[in-house]
Amino acid sequence: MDLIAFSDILQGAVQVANPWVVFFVIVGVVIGMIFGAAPGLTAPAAIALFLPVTYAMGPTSSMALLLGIYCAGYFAGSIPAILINTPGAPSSAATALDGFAMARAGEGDRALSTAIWGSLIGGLFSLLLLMTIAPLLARFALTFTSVEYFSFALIGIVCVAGISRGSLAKGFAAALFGILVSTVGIDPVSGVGRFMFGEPNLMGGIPQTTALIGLFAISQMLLLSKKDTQDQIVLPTQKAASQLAVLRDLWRYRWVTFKSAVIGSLIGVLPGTGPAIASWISYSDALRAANPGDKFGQGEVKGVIACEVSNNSVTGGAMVPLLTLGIPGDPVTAILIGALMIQGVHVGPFLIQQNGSLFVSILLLLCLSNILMVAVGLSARKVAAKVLQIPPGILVPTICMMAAIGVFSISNNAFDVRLVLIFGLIGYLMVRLEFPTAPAVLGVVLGPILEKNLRNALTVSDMDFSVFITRPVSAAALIATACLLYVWLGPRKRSEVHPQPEKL
Amino acid sequence: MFKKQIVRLARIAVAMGAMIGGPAAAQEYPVKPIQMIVPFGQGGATDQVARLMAAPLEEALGQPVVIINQPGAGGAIGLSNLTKARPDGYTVAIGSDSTLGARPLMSETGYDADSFTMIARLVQIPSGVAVRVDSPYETLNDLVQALKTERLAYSGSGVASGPHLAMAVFLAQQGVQATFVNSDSNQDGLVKLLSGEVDFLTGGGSNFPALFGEDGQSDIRVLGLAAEERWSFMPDVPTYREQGFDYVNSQWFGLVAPAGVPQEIVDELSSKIKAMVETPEFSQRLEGFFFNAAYLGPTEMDGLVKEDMQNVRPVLAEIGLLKN
Repeated sequence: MDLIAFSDILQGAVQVANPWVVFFVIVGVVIGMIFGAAPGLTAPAAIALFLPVTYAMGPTSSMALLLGIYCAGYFAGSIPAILINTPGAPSSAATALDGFAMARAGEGDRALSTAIWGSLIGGLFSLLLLMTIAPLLARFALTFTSVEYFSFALIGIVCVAGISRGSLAKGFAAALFGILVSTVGIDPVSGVGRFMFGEPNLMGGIPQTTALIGLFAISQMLLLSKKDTQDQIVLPTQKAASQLAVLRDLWRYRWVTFKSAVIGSLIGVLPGTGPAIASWISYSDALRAANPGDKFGQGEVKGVIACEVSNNSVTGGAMVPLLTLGIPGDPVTAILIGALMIQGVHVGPFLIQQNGSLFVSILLLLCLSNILMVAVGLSARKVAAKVLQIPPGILVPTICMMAAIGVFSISNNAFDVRLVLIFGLIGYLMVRLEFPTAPAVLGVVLGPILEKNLRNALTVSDMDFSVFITRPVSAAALIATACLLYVWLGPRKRSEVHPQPEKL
Repeated sequence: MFKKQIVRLARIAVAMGAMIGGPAAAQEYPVKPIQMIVPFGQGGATDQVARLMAAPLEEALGQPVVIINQPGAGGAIGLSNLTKARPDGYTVAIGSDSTLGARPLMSETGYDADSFTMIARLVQIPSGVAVRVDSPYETLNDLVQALKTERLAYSGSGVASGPHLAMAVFLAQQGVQATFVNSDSNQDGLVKLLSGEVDFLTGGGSNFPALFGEDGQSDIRVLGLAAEERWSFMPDVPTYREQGFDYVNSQWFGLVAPAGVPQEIVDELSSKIKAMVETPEFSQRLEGFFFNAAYLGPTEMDGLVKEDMQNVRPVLAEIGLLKN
């Protein structure tokens, strides 16, 4: 399998060297940037929308366009997350915690540059893994069952304790609300409808993006449109950041960078997960390893590094099971299977053997997309920063309209537009009542994974809970969870004497 | 100057009136674009079959065919929205074996099998069952015998999806039981099979050929396919019947419209589809997905849905999925 003929490597390189292919990568990166940055339009949505366009292209051009969108889209969600506290996609929700705090301190440019370089490192690291040990990694991922998935998701969910400043009870309430939202629709284990109130459109549940856009974007816009300006957050003039200083930051925090890249790649390899989970788990790990002086949640650059490195390292990771087993690692790669099938390429364990040159092309394209993402990202960040100068009278209706279009495009269903409005109101109330919204999104993302895998694991084991501690990987994950809880809840009691005015 | 504008406005008004008000007389159907709801996301097999059909159908009908993806709930949301459309033949959708008949038996979908006008079945895929290559079960009989003494677990894409029901009905016929562990997709089910979480996997045959190398090596072993005769894409795999189990079951896709579409329009559409499905080019394109072209007319398709429902109802009741 690792014996790719030299002629295949050459042929793959020649295919990518075609100017049209390079052109499509650039187009893809630009599209990914725009879709990723626009609240409500996500990378999977962009790929789904542009997929039919690729039907008439060859396999290499088609992959060029889609992989360009893929890499840039996962990064670009962090632009609005940092600048206006409105993550463009669920995977950037954790970035908003520290990124926006940095923007409030006038360091938005530094946060954006960190996100760009961090994404590049994550993307290239995972690509390296894909090139070298893909088959091995895929086999390793296949030893995990529902038991391990549940324990991993548990690490993510206890992150609530780490990010809930102010009132822990409110943080948990928000997370439970998120989990409650995720239970709407046809139950994934026994097929029974829940909380549908006779509304067939709720059969499929509440889409994660819709909940996120409502809770973050719409609620932010509602806050902005309030008349009394004293509640409004006015961002100071943003300092231009030196790229060299940013790279030095990444070097200084190389351990966080490295760990996040590893976590992101591994989560990417695991089928049925995605960038949102990767960024939360790395964020919680960065929190666990925090030094006393770190100001997580108040503009700690390590927070941005952890999220952005890991959510882009999902890209290469998710390609691992796709190319070696024909199993998608995240929502985007699931769509890529369709894109390859229409080109007559059968995605399965023998893809690399049968289409060696295509495999080489895909690796080169991923590499090219990551590099172009930096080029486009660095030049776009200047334009993006101008968003802050747009008066609310124009910004609010524009963002609201984009959000409506975005959620409509997920399933071409007007019902989702109504849903996003409802979640916008809920988000607004949560902010007004000082409930943090980030744990709610965490609940929406992790709720289904927790539930499905817990119930599946218990179904197989005949309701025997001991499987969670008798399987070693799961046991290790549970110990990690316990450590996290101790770190966050133990010493917290003493530090709670200090007032913590920060609110999300 | 103003006159010109008024005339232009009037023209637009007349044109719009004609578009909105003109009820399509059957003999001139179709006079406007046809919307085809695909109740699954872009890139999936259903989506690709729909897009494959759109071009030749446009040519045959002389009107654009616009594809609208409305994914959710294993295809039930798109179908539920279809039933709210006007039954004039300008809104159609791709339905499948389990979404049309079985799904409404289980939950409040806002529709049942009578909410549709069946137009034509398009493709079918034989249901099959696979185990890991190191599994002790070499034949379907081995598996059934083992189930008589042991409790085994199996997976498939979705609770009460076509593959799940295919296996549930088969097991009920054999008088044995197994634990179903749900997966979001067939690939997700494959992960559960390969990781050892479940003992066997039920799925449409089209999922299997890509898992085999040129010399037949693979991580899985397909124990049988529930087709009438051996399947052209996997001629080495015996049918259920050959192994002494009288069971034939397939997953299929077909075109449906809301109930109440005039008979002339149904006939027009289904005859055009019949001609298209039976062209060699269509079959050739389908081979890329390991699907078989399988046209069935409106009446036969309706009969098939009703028959499936009858087979499935007692099984659903037994596994506790029947809605009250």
